[in-house]
Amino acid sequence: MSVEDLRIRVVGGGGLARSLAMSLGERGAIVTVSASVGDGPLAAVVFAPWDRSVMTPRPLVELTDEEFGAAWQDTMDSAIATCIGAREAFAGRGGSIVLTFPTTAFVGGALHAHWAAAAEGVHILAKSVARQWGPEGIAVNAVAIDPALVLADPASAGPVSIAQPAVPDPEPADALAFLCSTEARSLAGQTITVDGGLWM
Amino acid sequence: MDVTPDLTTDSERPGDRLAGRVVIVTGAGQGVGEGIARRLAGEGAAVVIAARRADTGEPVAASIRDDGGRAVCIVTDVTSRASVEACVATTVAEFGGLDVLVHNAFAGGIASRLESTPPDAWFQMSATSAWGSFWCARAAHPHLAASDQGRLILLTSPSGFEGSANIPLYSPAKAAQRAMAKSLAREWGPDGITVNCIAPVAETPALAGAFEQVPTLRGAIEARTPLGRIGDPTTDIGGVALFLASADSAYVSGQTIVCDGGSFLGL
Repeated sequence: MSVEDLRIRVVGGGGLARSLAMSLGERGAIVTVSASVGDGPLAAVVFAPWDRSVMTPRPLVELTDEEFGAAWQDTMDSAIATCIGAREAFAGRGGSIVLTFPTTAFVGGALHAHWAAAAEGVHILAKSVARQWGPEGIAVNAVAIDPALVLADPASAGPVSIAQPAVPDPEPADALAFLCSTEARSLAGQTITVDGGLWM
Repeated sequence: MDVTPDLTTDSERPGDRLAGRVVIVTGAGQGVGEGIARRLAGEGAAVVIAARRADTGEPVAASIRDDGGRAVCIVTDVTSRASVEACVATTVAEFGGLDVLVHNAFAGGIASRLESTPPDAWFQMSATSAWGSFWCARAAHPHLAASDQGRLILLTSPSGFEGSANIPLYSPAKAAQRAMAKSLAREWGPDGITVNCIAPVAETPALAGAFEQVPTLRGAIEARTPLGRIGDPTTDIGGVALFLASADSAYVSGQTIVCDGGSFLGL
């Protein structure tokens, strides 16, 4: 689903939404974008850069520097810039930052060392940032999602559990909404895993 | 019968558990890397001291040789793919193969706020941890696969589980290595290679530097450590590395052994 398709779906459901392009790795982008919208102060930012069109499986010995950089470095640079931009845009009012990542971070994945590194980097970044910015009223938490939602070929990561999913077709939206809400402001550095119970 | 107990510790008693094995240890000019190199050399391994600077690496290699071990220093910058590849190639040419690669080298960890972390510090942390692991693994793979006991061991940190308020980007840089180890354990298992991590807390120049930056850190670490002390690079961390490098760990892969005196118990 494109970002614009998503916007139309949200509006069609009675919500308010805008779709805006921004460079994730640019540190001032969130401040600029949130100021341009003019719908009120920014309250929450969700980091979900995972694009299945680029999250392709590769044996590590065949990975190029460009491929490793696109997975690890670009993702981490974007996550760092997103956090810093969100804090600036919150402007001392506090807020919520939710970082998403595939559960490949926890369990690894054959042919996915590059994406697993990025995923676990994002996971633990949430903890560091939560520790630093919690006293400022910024709640930083994470949602771990089913790799099937983001990996170009989830089967390539290999079986990671002998179990069947306890919940078919898990939907992370409610967990994300909770962590973005003021009701979750007591949480810091926590991860809610929404993968149907494959990884416990 | 002499019943006097032998008070010599295992780490002081030369052994042969790694006789005939060839090992590269990055960042072996000091600290944890030096301790691991000394411990593995003491068990008969031929050890390559892969250090960024000859003035730290050469004395370690010479000291191991003086103790009767086999060691050479190869000046290696793990932030350079070419340098890592040259180190592996030289090792194989010198010793005829490579059985174990221990990637320990790390740089760039300075206390800072996330929003004011110098870009070069992040570059150094990322380059030595994630990129260094990538290049070490890639260069070593064909040789580890050719060995009947191929081992890749990555040095991560308890901070890579817990996050850090002091050095916020140290934690994700170290966490990445753990996820890479799990992935490569799956990917390289069919090649007979095990891939594991050690998360140590040890008396090192790096930790001494951290204590200078955050004066309360030593007391905080000691206070939460059940064993009440900070680990020794050779006896404490080197012993874990020996287990992971030896035949005793043949059925262990994708794991992280936290070697911190019982401080982190969150797994």
